[in-house]
Amino acid sequence: MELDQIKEDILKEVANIGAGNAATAFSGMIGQEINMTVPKVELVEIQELPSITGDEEEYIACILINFSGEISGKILLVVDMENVEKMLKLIFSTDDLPGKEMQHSALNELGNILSGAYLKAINDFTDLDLDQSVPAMAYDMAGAVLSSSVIDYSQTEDFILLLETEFFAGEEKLELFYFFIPQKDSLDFLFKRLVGDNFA
Amino acid sequence: MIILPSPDQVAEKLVVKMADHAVGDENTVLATLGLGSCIGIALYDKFSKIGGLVHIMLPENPGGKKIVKYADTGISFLIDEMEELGARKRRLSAKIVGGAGMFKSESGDSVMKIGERNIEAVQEQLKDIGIRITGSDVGKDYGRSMYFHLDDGRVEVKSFSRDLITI
Repeated sequence: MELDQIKEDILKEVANIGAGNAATAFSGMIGQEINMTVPKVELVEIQELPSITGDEEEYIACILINFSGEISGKILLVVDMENVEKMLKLIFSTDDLPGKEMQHSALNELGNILSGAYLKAINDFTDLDLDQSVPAMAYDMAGAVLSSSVIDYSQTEDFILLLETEFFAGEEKLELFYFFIPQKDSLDFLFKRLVGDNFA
Repeated sequence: MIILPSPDQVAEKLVVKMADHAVGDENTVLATLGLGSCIGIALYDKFSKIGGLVHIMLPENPGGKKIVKYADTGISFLIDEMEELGARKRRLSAKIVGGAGMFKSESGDSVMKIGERNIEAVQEQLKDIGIRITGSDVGKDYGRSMYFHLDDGRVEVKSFSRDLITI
């Protein structure tokens, strides 16, 4: 797939609508105002993927959600460990965090809510039907986690299409990376839906 | 006075990215960082002290151009590169690292089996070519970085889950 200007603009709009709704849901969950960066749309070489959030040996948490339907792909939420702790304290409204199991389940729930809000906004905008899978998680070196997250897309592809937004929670300076990774072949459907059948 | 080591005593460190490879001689350390379900394959000729490292992502090449991304085409390519530097195929031994299952569902089940498939493919490929595996740190559920020292062929494996080991 070539990423021309029209396609890039469409994808930016999709990312903007999705991320805006996800930010609202995130804000509701942690009780803080959320700011987000303008979404970036990029074709990233697979080799660069391990370092998209910074140091590839940094310890991170990653929540992975697959979605399918008229377009398919993955959503990744990536947070470093310092921010995971900040976020959990906000979610539980206490500095005294519950056990690991409760923490994992809160992060899973966060994944569900953010991806659900993102996909719902896309659904409303494009009228595409999208379903999401239950979240899967990994805590480890960024490089090991990120490379493994999209390894099934790399079978025949050397580039991955990334729609990236960063969320920030005001006072806490909480930072969360949000990646929407549509399977490129499934996007023709989206472009046709938004631009019409004459879309080349 | 600070006595600096002479240049030939300082090993040159080359970092191999995912779906990439590198070869070198005894003055080299080949490293690859953040192996998850990918596998780092270190091949070593202990007589010529020539070594090579390839960081593969998938078991089989369906016809892709980036041949070092796959176990089958990547290993053969690495051997050719090492032979050009003076290594001999029949003298090669292998150490393999990676092939983890990184993602788990809330119930604790591993969600992608690609790491396991990579391990099987690499072991099979090396067996077919006739290269013995002399060290291996594969599988489980955590990421690894590896440092392959070509002065003696040792491989150090670093991870967050346990202390550094040497294979």
